[in-house]
Formats: sequence, C-alpha cells, structure tokens
Amino acid sequence: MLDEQFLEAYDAYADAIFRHCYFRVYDRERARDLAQETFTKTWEYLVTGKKVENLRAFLYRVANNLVIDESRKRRPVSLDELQEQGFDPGERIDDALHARLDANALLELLDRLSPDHRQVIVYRFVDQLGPKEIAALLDESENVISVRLNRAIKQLRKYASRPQQ
Amino acid sequence: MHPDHNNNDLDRIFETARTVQLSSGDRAAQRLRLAAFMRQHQYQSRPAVWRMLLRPIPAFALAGVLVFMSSVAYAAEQSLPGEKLYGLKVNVIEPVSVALSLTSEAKVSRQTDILEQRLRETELLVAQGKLTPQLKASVEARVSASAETLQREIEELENAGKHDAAADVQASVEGTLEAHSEALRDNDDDDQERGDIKDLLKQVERKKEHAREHGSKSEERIQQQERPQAEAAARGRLKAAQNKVKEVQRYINQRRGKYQPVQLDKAQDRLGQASQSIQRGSSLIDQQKFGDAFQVLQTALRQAQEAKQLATRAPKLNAKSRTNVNLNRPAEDRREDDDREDRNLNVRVNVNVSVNSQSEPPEDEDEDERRNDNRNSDD
Repeated sequence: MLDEQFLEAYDAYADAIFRHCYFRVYDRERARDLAQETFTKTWEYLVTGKKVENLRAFLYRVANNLVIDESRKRRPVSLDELQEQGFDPGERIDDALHARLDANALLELLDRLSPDHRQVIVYRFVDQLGPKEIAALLDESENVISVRLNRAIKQLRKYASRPQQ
Repeated sequence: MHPDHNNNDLDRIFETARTVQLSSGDRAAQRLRLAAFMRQHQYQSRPAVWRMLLRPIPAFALAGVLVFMSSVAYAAEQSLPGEKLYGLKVNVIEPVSVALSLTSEAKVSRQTDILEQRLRETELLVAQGKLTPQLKASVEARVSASAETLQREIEELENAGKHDAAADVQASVEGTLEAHSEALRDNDDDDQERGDIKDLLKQVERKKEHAREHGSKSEERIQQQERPQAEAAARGRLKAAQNKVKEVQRYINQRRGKYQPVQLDKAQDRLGQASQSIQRGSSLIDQQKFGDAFQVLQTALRQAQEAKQLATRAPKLNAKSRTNVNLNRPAEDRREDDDREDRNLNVRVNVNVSVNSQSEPPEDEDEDERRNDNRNSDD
C-alpha cells in the first residue's frame, strides 16, 4: 500500500476509530492517543510487506487490542468522574447541550453493561458493523455474536427503561 | 437527571454517538504525526527493479550518505541563533521531534527540552558576546513562544485530568527558568560591557513569575480537594520528588572528577535544599496536612531541577568553556582553543568543514558532553 493510500484511509477512518476508542475507554484524550497508535501500528505491520485484506476491519482489530491492553494497564474511570470532567462530543454538533445529554446517557447505559456486551453494542450501533464483521473481528461464529447482541440489546433496553438508582 | 428511555430514545442516542469525532486540530496534528511516522518507517516491499537498483550500492557509499545526513542534522542541532543551520533546527528538526511524540506526556517533555535549549542558547550567545540587538529580539520571541506553548500544554494536561504529569512539568519548567535567570543574572554582574541583557533577564523573570503564578493556582486547587484526593496527590508528589532527587544525585556524581567542583558543590547544596523540602513534605503528610505537603514537595521538585541545571553548567576540568567561567577572556583566545580541540575530533572537524565553514567556530565539547550526560541520566 502506498503512503497516499494509507493517508486516505486515515482520512476515511480516523473519526470512526477515535469514536470506537472513545466509547470503549470514556476518555477523549486517551481515545485520541489510542486512535493515533492504531494507525501507526497498522502502518508498521504493512511496511513489513504483509498483506491486509480488509483494512477497515484490521484497524478495528488493532484498536480493540489496544483498548484491551489499555484497560489492563489503567484503573477504570468512574462515571461520576467522567461527568465532572465534562463530555466533549466534537465539533459538528449543532445543539451541544442536547448532544451532551444524549452522549452522557449512552455512556451511563454502556457503563452498566458487561464488557462483552458493551463491546458488541459499540461495534454494532456506534461503528455500525454487521454481525458477520463483528464475528470475524472477535474470532467468533456469527451465531454466537447474534445471540450476544440480542442479549446486550435486551439488557440495554432494560437499563434504559429503569434508571440507575 | 436520568430520563426514562424508550427505543426511539436509544436510536436518537446512538445517532448522536455517531457524530462524535476528532476536533479538526487533533485530526490535522495526528495526520501530520502519522505522515512523519510513515516517512521514518518506509515500505520494504518495493518493486523488484528498485531492489535491484538499490542492492549494488556499496555499503561504504550508503554509510557515507548516512554520515553526511546525520552530520548535517547534528551540526544543525548544535547551531546557535544567527548561524546558517539554526533555521533547520528550529523549523524542521524540533517540530518534527514534537510531532513524532506519540503521547501528550512525551510531547510536553520534548517541549520542555526545547525551552531549556532556547535558554541555553541565550546564555551561550551572551557568553560569546554575540547577542546583537536583532538576535536579542528573535531570542526573546522564541523564549517567550516556547514558554507560552509549554504553559498551554500544562493546562491541557490538567484539563485532561493528568494532574501528576502536569505538576511534574510545572516544577520542571519553574526550576529551569529559575536556574537560567540566575545564570543570566551572574552574566549581567560579570561584565556589563557584554551587551545589555537586562531586558532578556526581565523577560525570563516574567516567564518564571507567570509559571509560579500558574503553579500556585494548581497548588491552591489541591488544597481545596477532598481528603482522599489531596492525600493521593501529596503522596504522588513525594514519590516524584524522591525519584528526582535520586536522579539528580546520580547526575552530579557522574560529573565529579570531570567537571569543576565549585559549580557541582553549588548544585549539591541546592539538592540538599530539595532533600530538606522532601523531609518537611513527608512530615506534613504524617500530620495529614496534604495541601501544604503538596506545595512543599513541588518546591522540592523545583529545587532538584535547579540543581540539575547548575550541575549542567559546570565547566569541564582542564578545558575552557564558553559559558560563565572564562567569559572575561578575549574571544580570539577562546576561538584558538576551540580550533585546537576540534582538530582532535575527526567527526567534529568533518561536520564543521562541510557545513559550517563560513559560520562561527563550532560549539564547545563541554556542551556535547552535557547533552550526552543529560541523555544518559534521563535514560
């Protein structure tokens, strides 16, 4: 892959990878560093001459590994702490307050899910990957992922209708 | 504050979540860093014809090219304001090195080195009597820009909740500014005819005061924190200060016997003050006065940083220095010594003949060793 092609891929996927990291680690700064590292690590892999069939999927896989490594290294951020820091959803949102409430609501819901359920929900609804793609990323069968997704959605709906006490 | 949600709410929430993105500034900076990283790590699977063309190049020719390129980069790094390669240093080498820093902590650390570099260049110019009014203006602007960038970075670290990292850099910046303003004051006392550096000194003092003001605000914030956070912050500072004192002690010890002891003793005294501050801080922690302890331990970190700067400026034994010690000697004498010393250093001679022959004599060996020692101690 040529340098320009890879930079084009950066332009196309940088926000998506950042977003994925953001909803996994709940910290804009860390998500930014992880997104950067995802691209540098992928480039390091490519320059050794190895082939990548699906770059988008490969980037998500690298990002996922980095998020897992990161969560092993650092203490989890509590939701209270997160809300104290304030949520910054980015530049494109017109109604920032509205967006902030929504995104905080999502973070609150995600926080209540198990890591596995949170992972598939972010892949499916934030990253908009299909069950087949998620299955390939997580080295699971499509069936396993569909079941996990269904359970995660049920949990999410349950939590959404019952606010945390 | 938590509304009930139904499916529509969920859809709307996910829709909003999908609008989260990098800010345009972050995106541009990341792209730049990525492009620089890609240039450093080039693709190995080139077309066969290129491999064929590249292979026959003799190793010595490649080595020659590499030596030449690294010599230019090295010479640029040693250059002073007003010299030919200085532009390459401040406009290319330093920004690229900052851009290549992968984490915000690494970026700030690199920028602290750059501020230190600007201040050291200023001292060398003053010591060599080369600080013309034009150079003075540009030096002032660069010191100011570098200090302001750092202050912004510290604020960003604080906003990101990286309070320990921010406090480390804050202490380091304050210590560096204090040590250099001391050096400039010494130079000012030494020789009034070397040019008016009062404005420059005032500017460094102002930056120092500004940094201290900012540091005081952070310390006040810590004092207002709840007990568990204040205790964690104070204990974090204690550990950081103890590590810093150990690091600087090693650095001073390494220089004993090689560098003039007067300046090293001065550094040792300052480090002693840092150790006393640590003891005070530790006893304040025992008394559960965490806010006060934080403040005292930040002072310990600043003093340790000042000690390091003092040790760094110690002139080498049996060698001349262009910095404070031999400032009263005529410039011609200093130049002759430099030339003699450079003749014994093949690499240095090549570098200066090839890229610096029209400019001023090469910088002293002490400076190189200082940088090496700095690197070693940082490692």
